[in-house]
Amino acid sequence: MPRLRPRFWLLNVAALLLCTAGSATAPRAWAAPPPTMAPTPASSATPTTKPYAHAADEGDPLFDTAPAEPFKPSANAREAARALDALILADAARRKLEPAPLIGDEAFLRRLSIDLAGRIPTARERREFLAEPAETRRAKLVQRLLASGRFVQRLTTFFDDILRIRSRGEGGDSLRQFVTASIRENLPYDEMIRRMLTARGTLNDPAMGFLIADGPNMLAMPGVISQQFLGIRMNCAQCHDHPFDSWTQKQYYSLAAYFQRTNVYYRVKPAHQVFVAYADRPIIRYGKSLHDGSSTNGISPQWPFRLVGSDDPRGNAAAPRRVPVSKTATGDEIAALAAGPAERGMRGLDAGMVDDLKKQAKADIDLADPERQQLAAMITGPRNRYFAWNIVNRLWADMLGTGIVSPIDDFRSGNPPRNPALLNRLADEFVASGHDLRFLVEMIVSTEAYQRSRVAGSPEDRRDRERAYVAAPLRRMGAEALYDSLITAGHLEQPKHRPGANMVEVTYTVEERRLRPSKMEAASEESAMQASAGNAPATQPAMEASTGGGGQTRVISDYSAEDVDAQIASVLTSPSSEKMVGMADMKEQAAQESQMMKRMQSEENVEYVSRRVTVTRDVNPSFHLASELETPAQSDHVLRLLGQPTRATLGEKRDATANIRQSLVLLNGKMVNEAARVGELEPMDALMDDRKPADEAIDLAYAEAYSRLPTAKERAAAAALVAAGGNRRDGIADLRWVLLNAMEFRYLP
Amino acid sequence: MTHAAHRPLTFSRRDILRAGAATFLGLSLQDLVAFAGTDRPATADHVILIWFSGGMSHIDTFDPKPGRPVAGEFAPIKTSASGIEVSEILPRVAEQMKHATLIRSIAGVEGAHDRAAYHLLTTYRPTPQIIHPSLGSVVAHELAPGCDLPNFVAIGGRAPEASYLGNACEAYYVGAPGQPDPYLRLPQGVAEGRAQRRLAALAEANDGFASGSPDPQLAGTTASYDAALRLMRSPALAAFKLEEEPAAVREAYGDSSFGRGCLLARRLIDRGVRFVQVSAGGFDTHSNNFSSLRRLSHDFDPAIGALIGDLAASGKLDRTLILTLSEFGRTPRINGDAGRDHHPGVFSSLLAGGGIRRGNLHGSSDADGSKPAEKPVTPSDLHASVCHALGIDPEKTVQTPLRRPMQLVDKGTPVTELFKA
Repeated sequence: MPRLRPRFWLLNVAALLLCTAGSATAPRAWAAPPPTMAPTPASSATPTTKPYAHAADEGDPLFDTAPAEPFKPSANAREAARALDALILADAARRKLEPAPLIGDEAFLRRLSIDLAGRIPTARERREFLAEPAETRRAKLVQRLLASGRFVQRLTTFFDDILRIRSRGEGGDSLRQFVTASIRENLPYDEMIRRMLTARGTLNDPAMGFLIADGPNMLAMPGVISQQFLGIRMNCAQCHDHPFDSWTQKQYYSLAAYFQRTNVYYRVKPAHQVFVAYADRPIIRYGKSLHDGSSTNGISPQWPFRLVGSDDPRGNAAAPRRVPVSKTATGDEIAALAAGPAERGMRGLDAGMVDDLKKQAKADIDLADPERQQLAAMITGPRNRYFAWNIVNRLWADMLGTGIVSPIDDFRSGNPPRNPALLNRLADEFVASGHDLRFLVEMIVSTEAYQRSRVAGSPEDRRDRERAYVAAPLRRMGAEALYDSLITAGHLEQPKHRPGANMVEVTYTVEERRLRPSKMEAASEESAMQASAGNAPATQPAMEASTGGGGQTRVISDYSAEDVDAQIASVLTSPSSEKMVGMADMKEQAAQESQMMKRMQSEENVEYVSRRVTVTRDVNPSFHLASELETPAQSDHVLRLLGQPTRATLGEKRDATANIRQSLVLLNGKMVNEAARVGELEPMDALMDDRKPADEAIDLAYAEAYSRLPTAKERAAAAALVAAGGNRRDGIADLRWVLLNAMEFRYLP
Repeated sequence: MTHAAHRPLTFSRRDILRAGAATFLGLSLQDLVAFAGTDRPATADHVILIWFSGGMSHIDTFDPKPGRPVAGEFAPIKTSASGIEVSEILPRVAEQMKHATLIRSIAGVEGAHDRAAYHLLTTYRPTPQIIHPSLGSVVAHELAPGCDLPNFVAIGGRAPEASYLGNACEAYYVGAPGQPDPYLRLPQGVAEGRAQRRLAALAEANDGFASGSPDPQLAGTTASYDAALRLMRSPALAAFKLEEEPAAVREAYGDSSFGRGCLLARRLIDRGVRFVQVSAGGFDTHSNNFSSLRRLSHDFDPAIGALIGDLAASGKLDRTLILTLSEFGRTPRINGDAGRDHHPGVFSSLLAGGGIRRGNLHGSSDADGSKPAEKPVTPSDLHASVCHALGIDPEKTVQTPLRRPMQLVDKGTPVTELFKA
């Protein structure tokens, strides 16, 4: 048994006290996490492994920028923001860069709503904001947005990228739920990450989604953890020593060794289930002949990254300790699973592993995984500066356009931070707040740096000031924010037309798949329409079908056309790039596929009957917000065209550049055009009287789309456009189409 | 981050040739593409990839095993190429065999759908580290477009991401061949005059935005809108109007989504599109393999037969390479549900045109269609052969955004025997 050195213990206790003291002084507008989210016991996971001597120990600007005076936590986020501004202005003065003026209130409202609520403000929110006293309205808005449900969704989207959440991947939905719940309940960030790293059992613990997302492949974990949680690229070192950086393959495997007892099992019957248990022997090996599996050995966990603070605990790389934890529902559940008919039911396991599982199930399922607990403690512990640097830098980059270290996932001595003191101050305040993400966001948006305006000039002229954070860069809304803003500006979240106002005729061909009469009764119990017999989609968009033309859509169905009609009408009237696949739809789809597999067994008894069907449908448009859709969306979906990443690989960036397909969808797609069209149930409807001047309607269109009123020149141009429309309704639709497609809509003020 | 920063940084001989020639000889890109790779003249300019999603049984289609217990329900039939027989469910393909080379020794390794599809389409094995682009993106990256249509079109099924080759090499997805793409037309209820007014006002609004601050992002957005409008008005869009084809032609391809897809592929190639992928699904026949295949063949057999025949008749087959790929083959053993299961060990691929030998058989599987017997061809070799036909160097490397060098094809060697001497 390894023994902990008393001195090291003290150090940790001291660090813990510091955190507690910090959070006690920070104002906490949010209730402490409820008991269900109580912190995991960290005591058993004290780091005891020896870090590698790091090549960059000498003269690393990340570590060796001594602050002028020792850090003292600020009393609140606004005070912390002033400290950050002081560091920014000092740096700018040194570089002789003049700060740009702060933006006005309306621009601030729009910028902050996009960054904190993930969408532009409504006209009503604008009115309410402007009705507040001028001195306090900005601070109050920050508070209001931080407490809103939209903020939870917005920060979830931010974490979608960091955690590379894929709804269609194993555990993706669960992980997303975990993140959303963590943010809603303001779980400290370090605790959130610890739970993901130490999760075990089944997806009943949704944090488990993180471990099983990549394959699951525990050998991929060092790359994921280092890049996403620490901002260090060591992924190349999985296969070879890193070509430009100092990471070796051995270091990669030493980090992987923290997962050497993490075993993932699948069960396919009666239902697909995946669970993680503690292996009875190390499953990660390392040696000269990695690829043919010969002459490899076990490798012990070793922390490869530089730590701060004194006294690393020499010697005694941790031997795995078996830490019994109390029997939980999860443990019993796995034991029950493992006792089942494993030979047929478990996929991807050879017989030996199944036997192992059966043998180990009772003994090991209730054991925690001490190596992973150690890793979680190392990663989130106070001596690992990368942990806080990474998250504050990512959020700073998200809200100010570029990271203090940029690219955000490339912390190394050769890529120094632009303003080391700023990075350290952000990290210190964040850690002192108790890893409080809302505190971090409030601190960032309360800075003057966040509220600077853009400056004119060529990109080269602007660059120095933008990089010193004394001028705002040109920043396009993220895909989800742009998508949700189109829905907000166009009143598309709820139907905005009266029922029956959008009746269209839809014509399509149904190929019914019927069982021959003798089996008819059996078939009637099955209840799912299926779209296709393969993975080529057979239901296709048919915009022109609504006018009665075309209509070659083929639907394979077990039921009569009338029965499936309700389900397919929405599909038929949504062009492919705007088709919405919600989380619930995906589960439905999976159920349908398994139904189909069953049904194929009676293929001999089916016949196909084609029929052309015309139905009338109300296509009153409404759109789900991005947070309600699968993520990432299908490859040609508008969200993806706007830059939503695939999240399948490490190092993906959000692409804010335009592409032809994106432009086509915004020009001709259903969403923007429906957003432009005026509905009878939205405020604009009251201003549709052709006999009155158009000014009021034009002002409302600007307020809804741009969160401001038009200039006199803009109003005149708009009036001409509206007049040319023939009638007020069409004219305003034309104006709104222009406003939604123009640069000002998609770029932040 | 601008798009340029993501672009791979290497230059091929062709890039240099193109740049130099365009400067000094004044040749058009079209001319240059015809000359591409002087040491290895291209024999093809276009590719049509037919993708059998789900994994098509090789024994019941291209590699019959008459007289063996594994033979299944279908009898072999003669084809127009002497000595080559295929399954009775492929009568129309059989008629065109004189134009084609049949490879019966494709050696796969991946037995799960997603992984196998990834491997067959990209030549790389899936890894969590990186996404590899598929053959269509590689071709779109290497060959300049011959028209203002997208250079890589995927019909009826999606293609993998273009990943590090960039947005411009992404497949343009056509879900419903034969139906107009709603995004290429003005929205419903918006007539041309009204659209003109909107676009004029849009241009004016954008002029006023950040006018003192030229920016590559804004310029890119404007350029993209302009390109979109050009595409909407391009005469080449007529390619999508299948109704322009004589009824007899449409009938020959078949009244099915896949048939229309093949016809659209031909029309796109006619106008200069480099790479078209047409997907057919439903081949995952774990049960009722024979009745399912027979039904599916009513769609894919006439379509493929018509496509080869059509291109041969017009002479376009000389410069267009058609190939079929499947995720894997299916087991020789017939299971209890009259189905066959996944079998990556050996399967078949049909190639025609673009310099490929005609009426030719390459490689074989063993007696029961279980393993390659002669001349195994890996998916990488097959991709390398397609590159060879197009004059693309399969070993050319491009760099990922993290500056990792990647070969266009993973360790493939062109199979020169496939080509005419």
